Amino acid sequence: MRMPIEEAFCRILICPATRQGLEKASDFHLAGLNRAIGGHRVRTQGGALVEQPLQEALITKDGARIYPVRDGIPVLLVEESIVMENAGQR
Amino acid sequence: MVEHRYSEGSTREAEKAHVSRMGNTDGLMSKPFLSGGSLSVEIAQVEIAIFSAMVGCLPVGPGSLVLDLGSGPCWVSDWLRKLKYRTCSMDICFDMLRFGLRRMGPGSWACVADMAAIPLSDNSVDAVVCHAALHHVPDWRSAIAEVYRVLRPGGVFVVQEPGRGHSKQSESIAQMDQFGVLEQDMPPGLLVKACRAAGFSRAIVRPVAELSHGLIRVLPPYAFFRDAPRLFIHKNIRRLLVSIVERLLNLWAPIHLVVAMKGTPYVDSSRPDVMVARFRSIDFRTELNPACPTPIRVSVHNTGLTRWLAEACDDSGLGRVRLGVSRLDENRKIVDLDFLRLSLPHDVNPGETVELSGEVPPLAMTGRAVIRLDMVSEGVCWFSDKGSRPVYLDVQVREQAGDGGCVCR
Repeated sequence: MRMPIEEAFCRILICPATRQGLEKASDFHLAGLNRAIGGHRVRTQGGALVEQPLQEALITKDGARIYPVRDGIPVLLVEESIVMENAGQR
Repeated sequence: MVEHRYSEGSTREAEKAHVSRMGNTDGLMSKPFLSGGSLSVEIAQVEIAIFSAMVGCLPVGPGSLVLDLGSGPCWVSDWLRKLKYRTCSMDICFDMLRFGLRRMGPGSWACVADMAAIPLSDNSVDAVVCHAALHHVPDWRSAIAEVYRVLRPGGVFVVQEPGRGHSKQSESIAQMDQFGVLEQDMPPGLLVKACRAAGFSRAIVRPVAELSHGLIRVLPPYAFFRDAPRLFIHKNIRRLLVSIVERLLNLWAPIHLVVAMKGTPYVDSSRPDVMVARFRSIDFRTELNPACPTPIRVSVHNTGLTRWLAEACDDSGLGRVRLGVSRLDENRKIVDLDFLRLSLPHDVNPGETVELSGEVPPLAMTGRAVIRLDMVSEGVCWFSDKGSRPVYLDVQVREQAGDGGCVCR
């Protein structure tokens, strides 16, 4: 069962790599990212190929890094984050 | 400290995959209670005793945000939520948190994270608890530094870890061999030193003593002292005795908590200690117009031992401190207890003074009346019930009243 992240929770979350604040990724961001995932062009920072499209994600304020949210649980590990330039170009 | 058997990367991956290698996961949902023979009654007793002792060390009350670090299947978070704390469960193993969310239900906060890089903003949580998780982390000193960063000033870190000899126990060796996880000895003295090095102003060891035959007792508050006639044992004497007994017990108690404080950990008004207010100055007219609101400005000093919360931590409003203005008749009988409330502009620590201002509604009568000022912790108590002295203002309500004299105390 997928539960959306509460706004209050989102407000205290930060990126563990850059310590920037995080916000929910927009449908626009997710759609673009999922297109790239469908084309097998997205890898996590740890190098793993992302195969499943993202239903929900958190994005850094500068839009450079995305963290997946699975079953309502943000996965805030640097190695599992997606650097956005990788998403569109690889 | 036993040397690491594995590299940092391998133990990290082992922790992430822990649930998938476990096979029988029935115990995760029922922890700390028994399930499928995975726990013994004695172990369950120990877990419950540790939880109770940890809660006893939290200075903050219901509604406060507690980070459950290395939460595993979130049973500590689940129990804290039953005590009306807000929790954020954090673990590096996604599957553990999935069990936890199933257990806690919707609205629970959980995230997968590395303890050495906690993804929470600075000063964002009121307390951090960590039950038997830090000793699995290779870079545990960085984790303590991160705890210090995310705690708000006045927050506490309550941690319980296995002590000397843990890594050599057969069960620990089996865990390391079978699952590849890291098991370390983490005696309380080591934790205390690390907490101080991370910046904590104070770190103390508290025993969770295990008596013989598997009988577990959480010593503070000690039943012996609690049951003694209160007339003969003053609170401070009791505290001193408890402190002495605690130090003695530390010599042999097998289970310890380490409580580290970031600044002065005041209890707050949702779980108060001594709550006393002194009204330093009051600007209020003594002659009131029955049809017009009257401005009031008050300066209040927190002379107690409790931090006054300006806002409640949740929707219940519990523990929010406000100035309560009551309306009394000339014989000081209550006419309207909740005549007016004035909110604090910010939290007020012991020793601090706060200025409040507002307008007292028209009394809609003429003649003599009394206005009573007292602080109130909503849903908890009026300060006067705890020994604080309210202020009574005698006022005259008359038509055409102009600027009357000010009452200043």
